[in-house]
Amino acid sequence: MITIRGLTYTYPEGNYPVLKDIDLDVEQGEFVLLVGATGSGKSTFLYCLNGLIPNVLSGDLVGYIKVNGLSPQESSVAEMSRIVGTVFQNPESQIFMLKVEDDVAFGCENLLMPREESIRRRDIALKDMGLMDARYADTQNLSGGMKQRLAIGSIYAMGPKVFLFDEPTTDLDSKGRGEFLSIVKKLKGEGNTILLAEHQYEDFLSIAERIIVFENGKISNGSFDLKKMLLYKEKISYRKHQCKIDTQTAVPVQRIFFREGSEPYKYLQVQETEHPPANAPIIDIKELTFSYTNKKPVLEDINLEINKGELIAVCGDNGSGKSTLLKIMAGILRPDKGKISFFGCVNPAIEELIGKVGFLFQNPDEQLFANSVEEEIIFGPLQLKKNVDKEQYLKFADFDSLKNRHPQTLSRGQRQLLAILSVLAIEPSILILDEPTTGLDYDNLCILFRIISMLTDEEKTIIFSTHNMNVKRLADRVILLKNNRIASDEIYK
Amino acid sequence: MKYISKATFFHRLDPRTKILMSLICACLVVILDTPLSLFSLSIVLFAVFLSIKPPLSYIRIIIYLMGTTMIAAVISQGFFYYFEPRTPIFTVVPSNTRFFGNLTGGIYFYKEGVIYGAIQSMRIFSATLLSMVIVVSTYPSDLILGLKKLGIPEKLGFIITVSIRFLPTLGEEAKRILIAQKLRGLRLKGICGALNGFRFLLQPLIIDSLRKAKRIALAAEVRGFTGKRVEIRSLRFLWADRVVLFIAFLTMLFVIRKMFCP
Amino acid sequence: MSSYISSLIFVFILGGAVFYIGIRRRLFKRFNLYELVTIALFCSLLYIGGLPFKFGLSRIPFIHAFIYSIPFTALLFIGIRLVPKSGTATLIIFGSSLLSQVISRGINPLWWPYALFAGFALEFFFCFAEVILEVELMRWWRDY
Repeated sequence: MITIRGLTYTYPEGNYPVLKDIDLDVEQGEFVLLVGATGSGKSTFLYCLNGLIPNVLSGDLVGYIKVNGLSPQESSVAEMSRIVGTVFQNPESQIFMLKVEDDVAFGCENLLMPREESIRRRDIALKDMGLMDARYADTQNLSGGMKQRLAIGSIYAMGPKVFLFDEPTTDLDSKGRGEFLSIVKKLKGEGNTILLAEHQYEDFLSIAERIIVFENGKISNGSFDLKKMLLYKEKISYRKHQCKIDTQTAVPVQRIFFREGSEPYKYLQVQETEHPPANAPIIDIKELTFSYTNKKPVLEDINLEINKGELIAVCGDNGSGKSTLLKIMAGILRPDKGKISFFGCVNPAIEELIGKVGFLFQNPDEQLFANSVEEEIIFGPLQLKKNVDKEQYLKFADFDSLKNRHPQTLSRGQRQLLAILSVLAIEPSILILDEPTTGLDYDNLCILFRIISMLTDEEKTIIFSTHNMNVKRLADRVILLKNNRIASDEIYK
Repeated sequence: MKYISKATFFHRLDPRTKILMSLICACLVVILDTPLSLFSLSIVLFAVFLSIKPPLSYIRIIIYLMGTTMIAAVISQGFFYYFEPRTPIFTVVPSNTRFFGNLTGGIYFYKEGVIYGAIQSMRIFSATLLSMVIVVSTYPSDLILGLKKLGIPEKLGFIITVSIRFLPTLGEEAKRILIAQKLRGLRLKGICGALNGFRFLLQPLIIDSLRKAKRIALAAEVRGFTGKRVEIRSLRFLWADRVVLFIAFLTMLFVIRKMFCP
Repeated sequence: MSSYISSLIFVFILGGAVFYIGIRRRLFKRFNLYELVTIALFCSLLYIGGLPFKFGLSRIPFIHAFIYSIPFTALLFIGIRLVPKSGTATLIIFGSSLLSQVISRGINPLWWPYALFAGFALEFFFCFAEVILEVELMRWWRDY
């Protein structure tokens, strides 16, 4: 199905090849998992297969590539899209139309198929992807998992035999990932060839037949049979941050699991001191109810007391009200019923909380607007007329060398850390973080936890939300939200 | 004023008919110049507006708009009417007052001014009424398809489709950026605050838009976008469309004939 | 009324002539998809760029139009800088006016010439002046 010989590719502005001399054969119907660190060339490799390289993303492409008889170097992207379908990471930017059924048919319309053919394919795709019920729904109001399903459906309707997935589950929560897994199983069951590049690949180990590890643009030691990998299962030890796949080499592979004794835990085990219980809770919520527009309430009858110096994790699926609860705690939204009191004052407006409560949004790019890292950190204190020692904050995250760089040129993980630092710099007593761990790789996560542990030493209250099961175990107290109410509120020690 | 889905006569009309009707109506608004004819046009359009069953809030907004425009136009034109002949209805400051009289030539309230003001305001809200009827009764995708059939190039249609699709997304993002700024202490009140807010809003918003544009372009390429498209949705002229267009043309011819052969 | 029609005719004749010569001499470069989508997003940005400016007094349409020219011009010029081809300005202005018409103000074909004409001077610059300036300047520099 796919034959590749001697594939070498250099970016237009690059000095060295991103992909070096890759040889690969993929049979029809195989499920291949592509694994490797960020920047090792997984996504670039996928783009070479669907024609985006060299037609859209220019650069130097050398080698022999044949996908089901067509060569991306000779055919246009539109021609390649009849046999190769690609699904990207962010489902939001893959949806073009306002209604679900229009978007599913978008691909077929572009391929200039006759109307009856487009309608037939659209109906088949709607049925197979489970979108029949949501057929007339607006695309703006779908959940993350549904949006990704819609993106896949739109590609599926075009009828390709090869599916390429470029980190498709990164922006999804656990429920979305479950839905995605069932769709991928269905696609494999129909005999399609699937190549999937992912960081969080554990879910797919059950259906993958091959795992290819990318390292610095090369495939390490050829590709590995899964059976061979399972044989060495006992050698896959996450504790040592290394994954021995065969006895000769040790290949570092990205991971986000933490087991006992691993690096991030070390930082948090430092604080052994017991905090004496505070006299009055710092945030006191009683019978809180909130709904966005006069529809079903997003939060119902919430009662919470948060004391000084606690490290709290709020968990729950998307749509359970995590973000809403955090926004109410930051003063951004005001409750419909019930009351919330901060430091004693009841239902304050957001203006009174500035400087005392710090809030971090999910997307760090929305919070960086200065022209250099240093300016970004000082921005908050300058506006609030506080004096802070910016060197200290720069040192927190090892940003000393990056002082004068423009924030948008940093990597995703570094931008997230910078956003956290900029909120820290206003020295709030309460720090609220909305999903701070998404998009952070291993090293940056260590830095994040180091910062959090330092803050809890200084008796600051930290509340964060997450749907990463491993991360929530690092908190003192875990609040689980289900069906718009608090399902459980447990304290760990 | 957003699209509301109902099943009225106007909702079923072809979007091309509606666009052509708005063109004809716009011409009528400019050509007619007696208060009586404009008044009858306004009444007809208001009836059409009520026939698409808008919600009460929309009706309130329209009446409020009409009322304020009428009052503002009548008052301003009444006082500041410039063309001759003009006959004052009542006098505020007669022209033989010692100081003000010489300065201003007397401030009167003119009858012709009132009529002129009424004419102008009726023109304005006739045009607005029909525009709102079209917006509330036509689905945006159908409207763009109608525009394409009338001659707007394909690429422009694609541009507008993408803009409509991503408008709410960008709007939410802009709101979140503004809140993040407020939380870091930026003052957003007053004209200085607004300028400040805009300045710091611009950078993250545009950089994020550029990143989005790259992703969207890749997604469109992978869906085989070449510029040409064979759309599933199709527009058909029904007998209702022919009747409405016929009536509109007749009215137009009638008015032009009346204009040129008094 | 007559001045409106005569200016319309003038614009169309001049615009038609410029367009015709431009296509003949292949001065118009085609847009690739990335640039089209950037222009589309800028049309949306023009629509929401007035958001920080909607306070108190500026809700009156007259004053709002006055203040709105600040974000409008800023975003338009950033858009032209990002996609420096002839046709960008017209597409952004016309696209954003069509967008506001489709979404909230109502389709009125009589407003289209205004939107098309607004970016005209900029198109003139991109279309001719750039080429002429380059060619003439080069020639002058060489002969001098």
